[in-house]
Amino acid sequence: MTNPVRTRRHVLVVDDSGPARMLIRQALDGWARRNGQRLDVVEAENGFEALRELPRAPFELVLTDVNMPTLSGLELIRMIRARPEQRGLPVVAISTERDAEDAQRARKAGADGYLGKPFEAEAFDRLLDELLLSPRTPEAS
Amino acid sequence: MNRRPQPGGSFSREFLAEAETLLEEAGSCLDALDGEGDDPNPAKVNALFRTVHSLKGVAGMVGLAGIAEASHDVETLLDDVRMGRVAPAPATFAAIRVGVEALVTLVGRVAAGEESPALGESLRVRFDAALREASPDPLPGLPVLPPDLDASFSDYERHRVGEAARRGKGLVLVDLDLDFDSFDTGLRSAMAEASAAGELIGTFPGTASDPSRMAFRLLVAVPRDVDTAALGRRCAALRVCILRSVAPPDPPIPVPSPAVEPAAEAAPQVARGLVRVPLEKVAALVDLAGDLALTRGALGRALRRALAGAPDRSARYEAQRAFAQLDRLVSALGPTALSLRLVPVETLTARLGRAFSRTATALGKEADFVVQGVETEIDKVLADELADPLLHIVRNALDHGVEPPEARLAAGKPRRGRVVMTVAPRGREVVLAFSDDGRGIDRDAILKKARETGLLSPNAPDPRDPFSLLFRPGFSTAEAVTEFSGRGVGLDVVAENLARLGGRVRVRSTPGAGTTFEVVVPMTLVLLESLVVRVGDLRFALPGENVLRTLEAEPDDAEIVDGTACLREGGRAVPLARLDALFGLAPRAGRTGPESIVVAEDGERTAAFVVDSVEGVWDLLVKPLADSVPRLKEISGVAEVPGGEVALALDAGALLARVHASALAGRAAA
Repeated sequence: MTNPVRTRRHVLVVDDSGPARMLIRQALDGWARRNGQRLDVVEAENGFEALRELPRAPFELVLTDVNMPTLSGLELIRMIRARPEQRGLPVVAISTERDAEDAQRARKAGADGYLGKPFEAEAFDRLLDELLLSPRTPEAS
Repeated sequence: MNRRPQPGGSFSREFLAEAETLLEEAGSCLDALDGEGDDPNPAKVNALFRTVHSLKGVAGMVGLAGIAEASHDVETLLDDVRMGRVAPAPATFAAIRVGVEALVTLVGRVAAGEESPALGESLRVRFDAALREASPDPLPGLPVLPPDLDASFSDYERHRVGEAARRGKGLVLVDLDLDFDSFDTGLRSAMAEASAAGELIGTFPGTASDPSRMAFRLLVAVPRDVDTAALGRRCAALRVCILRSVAPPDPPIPVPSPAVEPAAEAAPQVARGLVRVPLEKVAALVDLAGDLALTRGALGRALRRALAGAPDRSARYEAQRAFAQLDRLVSALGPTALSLRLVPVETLTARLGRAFSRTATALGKEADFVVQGVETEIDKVLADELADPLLHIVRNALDHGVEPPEARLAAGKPRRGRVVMTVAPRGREVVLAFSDDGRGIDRDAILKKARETGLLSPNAPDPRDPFSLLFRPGFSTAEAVTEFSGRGVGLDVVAENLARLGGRVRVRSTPGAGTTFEVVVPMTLVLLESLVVRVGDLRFALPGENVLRTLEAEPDDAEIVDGTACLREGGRAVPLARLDALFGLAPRAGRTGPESIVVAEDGERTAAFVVDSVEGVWDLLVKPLADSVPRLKEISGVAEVPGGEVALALDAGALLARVHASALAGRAAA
């Protein structure tokens, strides 16, 4: 049940570093090209902007940096998980930590995936395939 | 996606710009931490941790492994300090400084063209040697926390909670319930208040009262003597839960609280007299300044050439072109500079929101304040001046509009009332509307009251807009004088203050359903180039666009045409009037010699006015006179002249019309 190719899929990228957002955007563009997808990528510089952007478009994926001033990525994920209309939204935490402990921390806060910076293109693509292409298991009714 | 930096490529340039900014930040964080002893401010340690962490991130992304690794070592040490695994002793911070300096050197080597510099000796080895003995005291057990909160703690938050307990601090949860449209303002302001009162350990989701709202919980460690109720008020919190006692062992002697406005309201986010300006506005102004400098150069060159010898055609053309350009730029400068005075109305609405919560609590009302259109821009001076009248309207809505919870339930309304503030630009004006869903205003009661108090004579017909009576002095329908409104300062003062700003207010109401106060003000208080003249003790300001010229004339220069004093001006006779005589002022005694004359026109009529002296030309902020001041048609308002004097602003059209009318009358009599 993949989406039709023509549909734009909304992705939110949250990172306080401009170059980091640029690189994530490039990785997203690469993935979209390889998979015949069209993405609408929205960037947010911090958690406040992200919370404001979220209701504005039907986002299908959020990629967020973990360490940001004032409102951290983990705090942002907690907020997303607490809002009923965003509860099922896939969130990928991105951080420079590569150890299992940090990945676990992100999972515990509610992240669906975890990427350590610098991430390998293959790992990035695999995660996006999993979150955006594979049929989602319908919520137990 | 490992990438090699390309020398001079955009990645390398971007990396250097970012790395240098981050290292500068790291340096200032370290300096700030220097004087903090063994209980450093965790916010500062976190800020330092984040900059080093970000540096590691960008270095890794562009494939600078050596810098990424060194950053990682510094970051690990900082994380140990953050998490309490290494004591924050001076030796620790000295080691961190060594690490940051090593990073500065490495980044400098990238700037010098080295492809991927690395340190010879790993920082970790150096840190381990320096910090063998810096291990912290054991932590005591955690205080009891709500289970949902406890489950979502990060390790860092858990550590800080333990640390707060160890240092005998109190722990409170500040619950915020914010409107979605303005939640970031409310949240940021509450987070800043929490950080000022103590340590903001974490921000958690709360349970919103309805889907259009956002709820947050701030976990704050505070000193034991903190006034939690005051903290809650400053944060505009729904409530404050105390998790760990903050009551001091001996109650302090109560200090009588000031009866007037609390400090939070007296100090809005942006200090009076200061304007926060978005960068693009500054950039536009800087661009204009640059263009002006270039044009000045071109004009100067053309002038020098023209003055040096016989002006040839090209010099004249060049000068004309430069002047036209200068003219265009100077015209653009005014509006651009004026736009710097515009600020988002948000600073004002945040202040109103805080006052709203306080007033609701004090009055025992349950109500939400919803703001729409916070991004609308408004003149900074206007925003400051509007605060008082709007506070009055907001309090009025809570006091007289929104009913107590029981009364609302009895009337079949939701328990919580609602006051919606809508801000929207309309042409060159801004409309600020306040709609409550309260009991509304009974127009018959207003008319009855107006007849009783004599504002309306018993037999006079009902006015078209009975609600306008609310703004008349001496009108008050308040049965009880409460702390918040009805203190004798009524809506008449609100209307008068708004009129002073060139604004107006109107009321619509449906009994039982609610009331709307609509305030309309100009978007900006426009500066008017004005010629200021003195007559006796008074100063008058005439709009620059109406001034044709000023001159000195001997009394003999006037001639009498058809029985009216006239001045020969450009081949025709224009009426000559004395400004003192026009306004019934005593003529200056002992006057001899030439007189100062201003020739004014309004596109239709021209007249000359004798004044005592011409003082100068300034850009003045002309404010309309309040409705309660008896008016002369010829006076359009008042303006403050530099130096603190006040000038009466003349309405040139009305003034010229009057002079011409009396000239006609003189002619008819003659």
